[in-house]
Amino acid sequence: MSEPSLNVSFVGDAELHAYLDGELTAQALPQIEARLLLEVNARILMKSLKIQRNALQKKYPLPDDCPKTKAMINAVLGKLT
Amino acid sequence: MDHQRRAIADEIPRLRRYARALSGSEIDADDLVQETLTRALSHLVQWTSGENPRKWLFSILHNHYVDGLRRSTRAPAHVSIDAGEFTPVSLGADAGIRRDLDQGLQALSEDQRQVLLLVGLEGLSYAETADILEIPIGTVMSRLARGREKLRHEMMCDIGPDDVPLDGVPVGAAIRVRSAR
Repeated sequence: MSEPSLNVSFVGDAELHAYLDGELTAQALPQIEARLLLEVNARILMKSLKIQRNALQKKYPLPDDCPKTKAMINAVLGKLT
Repeated sequence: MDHQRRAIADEIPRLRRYARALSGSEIDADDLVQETLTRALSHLVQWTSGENPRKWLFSILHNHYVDGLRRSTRAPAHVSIDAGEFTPVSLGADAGIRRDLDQGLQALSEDQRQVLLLVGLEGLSYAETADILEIPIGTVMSRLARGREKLRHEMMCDIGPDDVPLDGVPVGAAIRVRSAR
């Protein structure tokens, strides 16, 4: 068995975000070392993404129970309000 | 036909939320959603029966929004927290985060904000987002990564190499992966 060659590759932010969003599994990366380091990076990024997502959802709550939404729903359904 | 209308009605809260986040104005957002619903109801045949209408409706909304931007020479509206039924729940101690989020959203380009809101707020997949915006998935990924990075910078939730030691692995080293094959 020949000595393995060393390659340098980069795990970019786009790949990490894809991993965090469930669009890319760690198994998609063939090297164990790369998978482990991806996990490390992912855990670090996860914290900031959680903060972002929570802040976005608090800033923009789903308006599913407000008069305007209900009026629009009734209009689409053809109901008189 | 009734089940189609019901399915469209079910998406209204999400449409309103996305439109408001995108336009930064409740009035503009409601106009956008109204126009989206009008177009959708008058083109029901374009919706493939059996499919969730979410992607179709978001595509209509996006196209209408982009058309409006092209017609208008004004800059994208300021994304602010204003009064009204959308008033978010109190963030209390998170007020700083809310302010930073405002600044962060302002710092994003229109393209980055669209992708970030569709994936980060609405939870759509990369493929759905790519279809809605009519761009390749790779472009979704790059815009999302850059947008999130900008937002993270503004929200000051970046974590430095000294902040989180993970099993003795320096964070900086995690960016560069040495792989053997």
